[in-house]
Parts: sequence; structure tokens; C-alpha cells
Amino acid sequence: MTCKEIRAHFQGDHFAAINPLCKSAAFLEHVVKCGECSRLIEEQTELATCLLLLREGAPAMPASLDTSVLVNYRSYISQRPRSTTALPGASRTGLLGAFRWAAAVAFAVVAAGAVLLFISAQRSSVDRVSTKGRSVMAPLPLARANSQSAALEPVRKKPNSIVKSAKHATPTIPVALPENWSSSGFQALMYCDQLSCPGAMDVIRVQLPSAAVAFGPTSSKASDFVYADVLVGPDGIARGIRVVE
Amino acid sequence: MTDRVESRSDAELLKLSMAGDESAFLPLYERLKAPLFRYAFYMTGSQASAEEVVQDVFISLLKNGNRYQPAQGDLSGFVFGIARNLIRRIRKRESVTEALPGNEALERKSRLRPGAEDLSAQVIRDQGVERVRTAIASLPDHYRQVIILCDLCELTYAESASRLHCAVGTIRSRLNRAHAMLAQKLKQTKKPQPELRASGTEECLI
Repeated sequence: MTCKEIRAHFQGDHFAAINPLCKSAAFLEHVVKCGECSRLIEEQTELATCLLLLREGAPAMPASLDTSVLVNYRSYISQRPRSTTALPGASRTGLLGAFRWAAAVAFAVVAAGAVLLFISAQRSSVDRVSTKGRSVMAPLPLARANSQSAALEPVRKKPNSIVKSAKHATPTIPVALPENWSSSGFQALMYCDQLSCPGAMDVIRVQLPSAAVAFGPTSSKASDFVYADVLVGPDGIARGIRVVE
Repeated sequence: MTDRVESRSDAELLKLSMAGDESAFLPLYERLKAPLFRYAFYMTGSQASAEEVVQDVFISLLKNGNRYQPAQGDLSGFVFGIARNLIRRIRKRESVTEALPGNEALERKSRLRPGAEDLSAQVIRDQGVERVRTAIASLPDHYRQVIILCDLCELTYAESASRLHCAVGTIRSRLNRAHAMLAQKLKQTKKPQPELRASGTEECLI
């Protein structure tokens, strides 16, 4: 017997060291001569003996375990939902699960689309309003009706939104309420005197459809636009209007 | 009727058990319980944990039995997979709260049979078993599993391969390496025998 044969023998069966083959004459003869094989057999014998001891040392299954497993089984069967009883097949449950997932994903996609549509609709309406405002509001400088009283009045700051929307427009000039402002071409839109309309007013030039201005020039078509100066008070309410063209 | 149930495959028994047929559950349990218990015992090193694993495995099998697909392997492989996951969870839990040492040793001492063999021989044997158990526990997980399945649970290479979801050749090579590592560890832990000094006869006074 050779060392190779002995190693192959141990590789095939790990409990070979305690097999009767190891007691054969040829085996023993080689082991006596070869120190390496002798050590290998010694190691393998010890390992096999220990593993056998460990295998035998395993405790027996307690009878109480059988009882508790059976009790668990019964309680599980009695407590489980009816739907599980009705659907024991694996494929059916899998299909149901897949259907639920698909429905959830579809719902999420639809909801996200609706939200996006709503947001884009909101944006477009805001854009429309702002462009309209830009075309309408074109304030022009106006000669001061009363330069002395205007110097005494503080310059009123315009709100940011208006400033942004009227980029190319010249700033409006605050004017004090003139005594005879109705005689300077403005038509009163509401009652106004020094007491009820204190402070400076802004004159803003706007573009309006001619049809909206009943007192404008009659020669223009209904689809044309007319420019008008609007006298706006500090409270933002228009006090008077004058059609320019 | 009982014979008909006994002759059914594991997959069929599982389906019937899940439908509430207790007469199908009992033979299925009988087929799986012994190797499962031994595997859990050797993996956890504790009888109480092994019992816990066996109970939980069967509950989990009933709950998740729908996931089992016969095309992917036999039911015992599926069951051992559940057991492996549970054992991993138990070991993680017990690494936080480690049991007091000595309980297992006390249990082993109570198992000693004074009349059957020499007490000292039993103690030496128990020490040897403990040494091997410690050495196996210190092996990497994939080596420990093959040793437990092939050497301790007495499964064939093919059976072990189906339980660990790998090839038979992998089991063979892992087992060889595991044995080599185990032998080395046992050699390291072996206490050196005190050598008798060759004193000669001249020192003998008699």
C-alpha cells in the first residue's frame, strides 16, 4: 500500500480510520514504515472517535416537543383567517399578490400624473395673468400737478410684484391730489376730495379694450385697444380715468 | 386511509396540512422532526434552543408553505432553509444575552451513569466531546454546516447538498477542508502529555 492510496482512502470516507480496513496487514505494514501516514491515521482516528462520541451524545427528542408542536398546529389552524383556508394553492396567492402590487403601482402613477397636471395648469394660468398684467400696465411719467405738495409727500414704494411685472415701464410718479383734477381730463370713478382721498396718488397708463371704455373715442373699432391714465389712490383704488388715445 | 396518507409525498402532505388535515400533518412531522432537531441541536449547542427551532419551523412552514416550489428541490431543503434562518436569528439574539456558563455542564454531569462504566473514563470522554464541540463551533459557518449535516446528522452528500442548495462537489470539498481545520484545532487544544523522565534503574532504591 502507498501513501497516496491511504490518503485517497481517507478522503472518500472520513470515518475510515475506525474501519476494519485499517486493521489489515498491508495497511499496518505501511503505517509502521511511514511516519507521516502514521500521524495522519492517528489524527483521523481521534477525529472520527470524537465525532462518533458527539453523534452519540445527542439528546433524544423530548415527547413534550411533539405535544407542543401538535398544539401549535391546532391553534394555528383554528385561528388562521378563512381566506387562507380557501386559497391553499401557491400560484393563486402569488397571482393575487402580483395583482395587488400592480394595482398599487397603477394607482401611484395615476395620482402622480394628476398632481403634475394640476401643477402645470396652475402655472399656465399664473403665466397668463402675469403676461396680461404686463401688457396692460404701462405707466408713463406724468407732469406733476402740484410740485410743492408732492415734494412734501413721501414717495410711496410699489409692491414687488408690480415692479417685476412692469420691467420696461418708467416708474410712476406720485402726485398730490390736485384741486381741479377732474378738470384736467380725468373722469371721476368715485367721489373724492381732500378729506376722503388724502396723500399722493399714482398715475398709471393702462391699455384697455376700447369696448370696455364707454366714454373713449367712438371712432375706434370694438376690437382695438385704447390707452388710458388711471389715477390710483394710496389704498390701491382707482379714483379717476383719462383716455389718452 | 393512513397508508394512503403515508405514501404521499412531502409536498402533498404539506398542502393537506395547510388545508387543516391533521392526519397529513402528523406523518410530515414524523419524517422531518428527527434530522431537524439534531441539526438545530448541533448548530445551537443547546437542547432548549433546538426545541424552540423545531416548533418555530413548523409554524413558519404552515404560514409560508405557499412559497415552497417543488421544482426547486425537496421539502426538507426548504424546511432546513427556514431552520437555518431561525438559528441565525437565535444566535444573534444570544450573542447579546449569553447564557450563564455551567448549565450545560451540570446537565452533562447529571447524565453520568456511575454503574455503566468507570467514572473517570466518562469524564475523559465528556471532556473530549466538549473539546470537539468547541472546535466545531469555532469553524466558519459553511464548514460547520457540512460537518453537522454529513458527520453528525448522518446525511449523504446528495442530501446535504439539497439542504444547503449547493453542488455535491462543493459539499465534498468543504467537508475535506472542514476536517483538516478541525484536526488542526483539536491538535492545538490537546493538552501536552507530561513526558516521563527516563531516570534509569540506578535511582531506584528498591
